[in-house]
Amino acid sequence: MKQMMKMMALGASVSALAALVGCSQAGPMATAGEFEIEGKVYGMPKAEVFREDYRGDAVVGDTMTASPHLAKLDYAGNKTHQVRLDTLSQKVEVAPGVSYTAWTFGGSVPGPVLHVREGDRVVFTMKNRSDEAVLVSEPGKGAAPFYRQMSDNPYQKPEAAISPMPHSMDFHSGTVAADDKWRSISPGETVQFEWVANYPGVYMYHCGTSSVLMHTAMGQYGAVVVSPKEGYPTEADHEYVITQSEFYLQQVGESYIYDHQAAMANNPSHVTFNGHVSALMDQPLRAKKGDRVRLYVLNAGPNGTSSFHVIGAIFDRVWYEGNLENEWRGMQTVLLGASNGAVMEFIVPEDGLYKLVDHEFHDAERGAAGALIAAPAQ
Amino acid sequence: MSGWCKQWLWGGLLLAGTVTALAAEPVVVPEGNFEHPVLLDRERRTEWVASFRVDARPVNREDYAAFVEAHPHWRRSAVAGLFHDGGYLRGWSSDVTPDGAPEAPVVQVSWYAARAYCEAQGGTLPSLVQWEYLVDLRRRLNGLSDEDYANAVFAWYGEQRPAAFEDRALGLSGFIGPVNEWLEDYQLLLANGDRVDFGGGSCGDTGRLILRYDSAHYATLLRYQMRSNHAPETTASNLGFRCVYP
Ligand SMILES: [Cu+2]
Repeated sequence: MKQMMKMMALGASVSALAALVGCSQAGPMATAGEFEIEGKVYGMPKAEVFREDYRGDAVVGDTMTASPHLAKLDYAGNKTHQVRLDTLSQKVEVAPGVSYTAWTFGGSVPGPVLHVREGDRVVFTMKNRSDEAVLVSEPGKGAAPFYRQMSDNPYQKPEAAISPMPHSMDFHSGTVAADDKWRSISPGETVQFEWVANYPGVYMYHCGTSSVLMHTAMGQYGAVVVSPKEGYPTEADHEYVITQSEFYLQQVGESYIYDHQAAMANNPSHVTFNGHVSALMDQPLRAKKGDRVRLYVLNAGPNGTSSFHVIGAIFDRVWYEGNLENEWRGMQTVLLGASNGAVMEFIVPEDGLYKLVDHEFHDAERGAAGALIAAPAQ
Repeated sequence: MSGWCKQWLWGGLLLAGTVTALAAEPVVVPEGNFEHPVLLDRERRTEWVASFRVDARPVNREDYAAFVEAHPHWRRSAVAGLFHDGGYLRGWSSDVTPDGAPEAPVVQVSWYAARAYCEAQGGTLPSLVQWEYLVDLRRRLNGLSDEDYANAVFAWYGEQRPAAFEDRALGLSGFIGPVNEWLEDYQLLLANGDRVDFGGGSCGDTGRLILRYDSAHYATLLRYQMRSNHAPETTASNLGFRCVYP
């Protein structure tokens, strides 16, 4: 362990790397405490908690998109991303007529997809705005593409809500001391910290504030896609992000609220792809015959496993957790535990309808199903 | 209470023809046993709670305006920075003019401020045991089932919908909605964030520390954990208080 630790002043190594890949973007900034092991950067600066009079967009970042979209990385080498993802209460629909006041990141469940490249740095800001009525529909200038995608397809029918709670952000894609970066902030507070995307993959982010089962079941999660430095060895025609998750809702009077007994019994009321039982039925994924489709699949849980399967296709390649070294070939189904992710590719064999399901059929029957339609380009 | 404030209050009472706004007479709480629902120090404990008096409702904005008028160093423009996190009485339009309805619970007050208020009334903030004992007592005296209680808590945390049950036995309002309330020793046992031990903190699941793993206990734990995320200087839009007296 000790002999493997190759600690060095990072400034030199990072600028050398930037020069190597000819990156014109600002590379990761090194701070005094940082060190590097096998090209991975550790020792981030301390998180800061402060108050700000921020009333702007709750989602800021040019690679923040609404599922199932994935932003293209239009830069070479590495980059420092300035990302904001505020936590808001929002009334969302998860099935026809079934809406509840969700605890969210950015106003949707799951929250926006963040796309970065292995080695990128993320400077992250989050304000706890759970005590403000924020509606995610009127983006400011320069807002994340997320907003347009949400307004083009408002399948969760979001409505502003207020439900003040302490919250936190826990990025599985970051390697940091959780008690510092993932700390809870009260309504009105903002936390800021950084992390470096040391490992490629499809990662979960979520609220880690106790009681964490309730915070995640209430909707506080989403996906970070970290693309490998050199990309995947194949050329995909389409890239889609799918997040599976469970909801535990019970009807009390006119509204639906969290059902703790059901959550403890792992007996969800709804299991969804991208937050609504019909998200991928009303807006099916599209492709043409012969296309290579790449799916970034995350199982956010909070409790259940997913046996992800595409009916009529075989996964030509699977990179478990998205890591190039974890390559599988010819997979019929990919088993994902809670918080596991994978990158899966398949060739669309012919025109037609391909169902995406959780092959644990009791969950498919509760909504974990979607569709890909292969048809000639119009 | 200042002159104009008192006038407003009495005027309001006469007009409304009700005495519910009159919180002047605290409610006498009978003594009894309190079984700790959260195993804060890893011991199962039942303790005897002596009789005490408590405000029937959370301190409201009108009350608090009178307090800052009488105690200028607790006005927003004068309060020491040490005693709040920057959000103290943030929405007020002036030092002595509350935002929102005068009869709504005062919020955006730090623990320091809440303590000072109660001290000025000859009281203190309730202890965690006193406050939770009241929640438990109200459940028992009003015949509230565990399920109804849990759902009221979850509904409130989800929707900010005031809990719909009425306290016929003691005549106390609040507690579960419309606001959370400061306690004297809110962090005494779940000190240092939500760390009881290394199992707490971020992503910690302290669920193992409740007496029973049912919904009602989980709902209660949520309240304990939420408190432990506050610092004494925290001011939040959902955090008010009430006082107790010997
Ligand atoms: Cu949370």
